[in-house]
Amino acid sequence: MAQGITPEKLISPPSQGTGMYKGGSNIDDRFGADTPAEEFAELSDPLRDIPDDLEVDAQKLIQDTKVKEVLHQLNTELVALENVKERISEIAHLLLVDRLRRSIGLEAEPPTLHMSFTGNPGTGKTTVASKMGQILWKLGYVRKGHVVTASRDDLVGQYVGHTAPKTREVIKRAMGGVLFIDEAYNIYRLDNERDYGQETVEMLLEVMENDRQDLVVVMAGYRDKMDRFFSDVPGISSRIAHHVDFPDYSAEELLDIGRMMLDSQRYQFSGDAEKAFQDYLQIRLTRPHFANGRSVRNALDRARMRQAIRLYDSVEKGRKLTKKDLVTIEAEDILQSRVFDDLHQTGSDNGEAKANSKPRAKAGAGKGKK
Amino acid sequence: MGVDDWGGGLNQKVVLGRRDPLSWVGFQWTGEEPEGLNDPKQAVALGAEWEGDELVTYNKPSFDHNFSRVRDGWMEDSD
Repeated sequence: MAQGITPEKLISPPSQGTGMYKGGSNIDDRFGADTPAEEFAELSDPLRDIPDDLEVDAQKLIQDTKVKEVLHQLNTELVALENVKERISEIAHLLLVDRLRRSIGLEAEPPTLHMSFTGNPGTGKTTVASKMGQILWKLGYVRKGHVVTASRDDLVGQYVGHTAPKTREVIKRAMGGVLFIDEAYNIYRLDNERDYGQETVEMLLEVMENDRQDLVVVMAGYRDKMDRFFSDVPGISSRIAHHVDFPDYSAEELLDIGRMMLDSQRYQFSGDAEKAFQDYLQIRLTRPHFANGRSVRNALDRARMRQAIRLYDSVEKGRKLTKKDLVTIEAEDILQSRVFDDLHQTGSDNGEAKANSKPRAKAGAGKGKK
Repeated sequence: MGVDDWGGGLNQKVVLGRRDPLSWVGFQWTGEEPEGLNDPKQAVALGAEWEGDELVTYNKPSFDHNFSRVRDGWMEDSD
């Protein structure tokens, strides 16, 4: 079991704020012990010392944090996920206004920002966690803003005395930033009383309560499994303030993601290739192990590989290459995917696929095709 | 390689972090700090110094080296 964890600790009130305003501090020094209670309460109210019309240089503070840039990036670099963007934006606004309040001495308790990200693989959970880290750092909630990703294997040991050091090491690395626990429900196995995951859960509970000013824990995974995990471990659920659901992408959104991914790597689809990729996505969406954005990235990586082989072959044949050749993914680079195999075999209407496909062995793409 | 070539960045001021009274944690790293370092007191113990609100080092290579020894659990030779 983790050292020093008691029920009292887990329900203890959060630590006091650390604002810069000191006008209302050390009340006992300013007033004698015999000050009447009402007067004491009135005089000790920090709001009393701050004029109502005291102006806050909000523009400068907002500019200094540069949080607008990160929010803009979030909006432009992430396709769809409107509810996610909205939630992140809400948190950013809360922290920004907190910062404004603190600039004139208005203290408050630090908000709890531990989160759960639920959704299928490839829906952008890790990417958003990374952006969240930057926002939290820019707004002064954490010292560094980096993201440490961990799963059960990183946290839970295999024998007595193994778990605590492992968990402690991960927490130590994550301090000052975001601890992203992937498939968090795997940490704790309710059906196994001897499972060491319980120790990890207790250590996590402790840091989520006591170190919440300098560490944000994000627990991620499939929604149904996360729901079960939270009901099995209510202590975790009650310490998570933000539950964010990441929906699956539509085929159209996946195509947008694909375009953005290619653009960021200085590639582009030809007109036919874009149509072929649309067809690819429609089919791929119905196949097993589809992982949203991650599947798009994998598909494009394979298309790039096929493009490279195609270009190499054409050079071998004496053709000169242009910049356009180097940046363009052609339809045949997509249509050689194994995803189209069924269509090929059934003599579908995708004649272009057949016509443009090279023998697989020559394309060198026999392995890892989907 | 001569002694003069050791530790590029020697005598060059590197700001590791800054006090930020408006932040919840009162201090923020700049990103120049070595990975895994999060406690400003530990940075001072390893040779960094405060210049006003800035935590700086003038010997980054040596600072990084010192921290790596702590992080990797190496013991100083007690002889």
